[in-house]
Amino acid sequence: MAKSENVIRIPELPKDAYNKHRPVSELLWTQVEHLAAVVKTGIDNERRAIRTEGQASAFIKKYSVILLHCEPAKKKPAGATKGASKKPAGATRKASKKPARSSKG
Amino acid sequence: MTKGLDNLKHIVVLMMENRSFDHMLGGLMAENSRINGLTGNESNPDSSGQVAMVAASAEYQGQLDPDPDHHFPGVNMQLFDGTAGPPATPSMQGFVKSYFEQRRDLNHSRKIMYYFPPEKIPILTGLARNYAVFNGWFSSIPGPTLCNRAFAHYGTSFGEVGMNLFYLNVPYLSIYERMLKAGRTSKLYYYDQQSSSLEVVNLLKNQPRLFGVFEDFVADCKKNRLPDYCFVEPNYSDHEDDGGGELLASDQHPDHHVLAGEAFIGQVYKAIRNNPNLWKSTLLLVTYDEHGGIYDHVPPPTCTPDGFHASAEATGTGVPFDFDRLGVRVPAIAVSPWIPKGSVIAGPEDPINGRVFEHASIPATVTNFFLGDYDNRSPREKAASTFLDLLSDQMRPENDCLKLK
Repeated sequence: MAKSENVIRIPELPKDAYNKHRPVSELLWTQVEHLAAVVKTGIDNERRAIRTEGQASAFIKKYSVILLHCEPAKKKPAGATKGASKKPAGATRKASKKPARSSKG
Repeated sequence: MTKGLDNLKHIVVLMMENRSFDHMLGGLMAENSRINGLTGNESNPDSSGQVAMVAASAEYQGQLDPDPDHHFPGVNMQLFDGTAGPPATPSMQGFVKSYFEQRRDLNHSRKIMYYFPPEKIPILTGLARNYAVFNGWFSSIPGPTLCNRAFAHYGTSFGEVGMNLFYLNVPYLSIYERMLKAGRTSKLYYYDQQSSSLEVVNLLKNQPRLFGVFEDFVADCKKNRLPDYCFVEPNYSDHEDDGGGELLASDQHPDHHVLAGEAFIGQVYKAIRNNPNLWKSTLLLVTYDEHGGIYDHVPPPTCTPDGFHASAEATGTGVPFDFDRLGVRVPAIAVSPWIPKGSVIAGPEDPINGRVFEHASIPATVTNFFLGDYDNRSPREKAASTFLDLLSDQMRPENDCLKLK
């Protein structure tokens, strides 16, 4: 008797308990707002710390990628690099087999 | 120092969501009169003046919808039943009326008095029967989640009584930061990326090394990598995992399925229990952040003022708050093989030996044990009761301790 009292089975969960369409609670909504605020603060801090073209381009790349939900564009416009790139011309072009996703404008 | 304390290497805290002591553990009084639960005669008046009795009729889901009010003004109503309030002792007579305001349905409002028969939540009540139940563990503020959780992390909410917490330039370090600064190890395990941490603002942005997910917790338990102190957060939402599988919220916040929380508590317990090295060297505390608007019969006591002040506007009651009284009582269970089976830690019902605990007891205990003298803490944390004296000289044999299958 004493032994069986010491063993408890973890209860089974009913399948109909799952409801991802339940309206968002205040708790979760607060979590969303806090996360958004942290992201905004983080972006602002990064932005304020920018002093150089390199830092600016790193920032622009990082958030362009997030905004576009895609890999960074591999193709560089002709003539954009001035001696700094040691990659042979066309290397990035070859690597990129995906069609450009958002090159408008 | 007891042998149990000598052997202690890890403290783990699991904090669930929004259930009162009586709602979850009140039914245990029928089998153990030392547990300050429900006699069955407790009641509240409803909004028509009729008596609404407590009843062992709590359901896992679908009963507490809408989410019962647990903001500062709502809790004030629950505690003081619309009377002038402090310094009077809370009457605990306003829970049904408070819940009525949300749906204006008399029958529905009475459900706030319901509690679980112990057999419906076998994991939590099994732990309570096998280890130590605190009769006097209270939420830190008569208010909602985030300010209460703050007391577990910082020993204060820095004057906040609500959900809008942004701890920037605060005077006290979190318990995790204190531990790391002293060369100790500490972690906050949240369930997964979709659930994340409720401490996202306070810790995540600056302290990614403090965080892990629940899978990490289980792996760390298995591989003897558990930090000195860690805090475990349940899953806060129903969502799909990365493989498209359905994950149930396990926080027990109404209206999430209570059994999912039971299973999660069981998983945490098993992860520790199944590693003999960890089992003999770990104290697990299972508690809840606040009562979630659900009935409890014990009036929250006064406490050491926090040194902070919330304005009448911030409390929403027209009366300011000096953090000089606690919130509603919540379940708290300490688990270790060094704790005698069936321990009950007396609370306010015992005016001589009773002790009062609150969430500031968590950083107070962890700090005292791992860091020793540490002064830069809130007055509340400094005054908070600690709980490592529960560990005895006698380690219970393997077959005497609860097993989960």
